[in-house]
Amino acid sequence: MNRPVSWLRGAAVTLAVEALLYVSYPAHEARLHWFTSFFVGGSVALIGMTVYVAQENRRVPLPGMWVILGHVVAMFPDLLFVAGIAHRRWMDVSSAT
Amino acid sequence: MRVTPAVRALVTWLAIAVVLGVALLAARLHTSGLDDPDLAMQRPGYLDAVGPQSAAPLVTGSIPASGHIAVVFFVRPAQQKPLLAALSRPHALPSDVDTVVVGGPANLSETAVATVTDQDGTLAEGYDMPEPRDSGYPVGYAVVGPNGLIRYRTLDPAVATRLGEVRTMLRGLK
Repeated sequence: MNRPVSWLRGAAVTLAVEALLYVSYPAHEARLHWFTSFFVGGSVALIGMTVYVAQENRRVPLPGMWVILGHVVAMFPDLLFVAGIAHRRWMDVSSAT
Repeated sequence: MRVTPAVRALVTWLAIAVVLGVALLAARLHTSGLDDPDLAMQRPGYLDAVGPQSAAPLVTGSIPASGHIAVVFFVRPAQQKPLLAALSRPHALPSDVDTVVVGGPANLSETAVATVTDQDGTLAEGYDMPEPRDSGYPVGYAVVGPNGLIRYRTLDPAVATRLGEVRTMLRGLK
């Protein structure tokens, strides 16, 4: 598969997954949690990808997956909350990593 | 014009920033007068997040009682009926938790849940409930620990439909 098509497919999958994560916050006041965890998780993913490129000197495989993975890790306390587990201070580590 | 990698990266970055900025603005437009001015402090989900861990004033003669966990709901007339209906369902809240609804007209004969009027807002003030955007009476709840200290207070305009979240916070106390 040529590079533009592959890139577009990856971008579409990333956007679709992020849209799903966004609507997983049904309450309007909770939507900003999506932004917080996305920015935190996405930033960590970008740092990771930068390190990867600097060390390996080649393109990052599946860059969208890095962002999604960082986002899901950052929003893990919210997933626990949906499962009935209240937030605790130590869970901030998921946003700090 | 030759598009250098730096220009391409800048355009990509700008496009992402604009899309996320617009999405963030759109998300913030959808607010209600019952919301906390700082949405991050609305339903924060962890104990001792908002306000001092102060002693809870008495709402009724026996609530809150020492050694008992209590949930004090603050509502306006529009939320009173749906909240009382939700609370009357089996297992709405644990049976060992004292529950009282503040704000609506007292009608103790028709409900198992204590209701208390708070015409001048003294009780809401005593619980240091956040002031909503419209500066009216707060709609939300406070959780009082067995030691009589307020451990959680939040505005929640849809509290009647989110008792599961109250149960989550109560589990967090144990």
